[in-house]
Amino acid sequence: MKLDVKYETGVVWQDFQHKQLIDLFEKIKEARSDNKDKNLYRYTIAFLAMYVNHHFKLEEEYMDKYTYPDTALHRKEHQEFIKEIKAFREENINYSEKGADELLTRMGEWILSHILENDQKLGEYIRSFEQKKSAS
Amino acid sequence: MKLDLQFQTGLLWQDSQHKEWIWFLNELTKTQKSKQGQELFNQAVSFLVMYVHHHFGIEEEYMRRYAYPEEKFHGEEHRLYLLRLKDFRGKHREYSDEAVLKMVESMTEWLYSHIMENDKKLGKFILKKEHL
Repeated sequence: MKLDVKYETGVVWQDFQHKQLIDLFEKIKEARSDNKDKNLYRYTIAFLAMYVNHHFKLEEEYMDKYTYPDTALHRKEHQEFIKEIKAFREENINYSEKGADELLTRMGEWILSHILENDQKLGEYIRSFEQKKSAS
Repeated sequence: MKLDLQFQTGLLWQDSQHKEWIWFLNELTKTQKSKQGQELFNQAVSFLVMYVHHHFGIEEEYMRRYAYPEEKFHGEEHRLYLLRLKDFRGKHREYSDEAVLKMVESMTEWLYSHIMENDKKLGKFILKKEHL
């Protein structure tokens, strides 16, 4: 899957991570269709959970350091998503097709709308903050 | 967990990832005392490999985008390291305390010297490009 230009925030690491999130999403789909490799499926989901944590943490580090005004709301969105992944993993310890489909659908919707509604704003803020910093 | 000042590049995302990488290595040492050693070890090692790929990926994206003069050299260092990692995994499919220790030791050593010799230079270059 390719991330459409409209999803780009202009912050290199952020865009890179969004792209990789979408790639992970693809990998889970592949692992799902390959019934034999259950370990791959499990590891990919575990990695996804870890990756999402990492990505959120990094965004939050920037929000804190650059005193982003919408931090509370953005952070809450992150926490809700993490809760959801956690619940999903607890319910789907073993491979299940239904579980995988649910995750894929939910994730896809969430990522795209979160990028459009929240990350674009944050990305813009990071870039303008860094420009101001360099000008002063 | 803090990254010692001498290992900081000054780039937030880069420092944060280096810190996390070291955290991972610490996690790996914990598998030594665990009953589920093999399972945890497999998972920790595959995490680490995925994480390293990701981290190198971001650095390489910046190098490409900003036409970093040492892109080729730095990229080659990454590639060689991934080969080493692959080789290590091939040799240590089975969990053993010795394998964990070896991996953590050699990775920590590589990471710190790679930061000092390559990443600090790259970090400085990116900061300049982004006028930070």
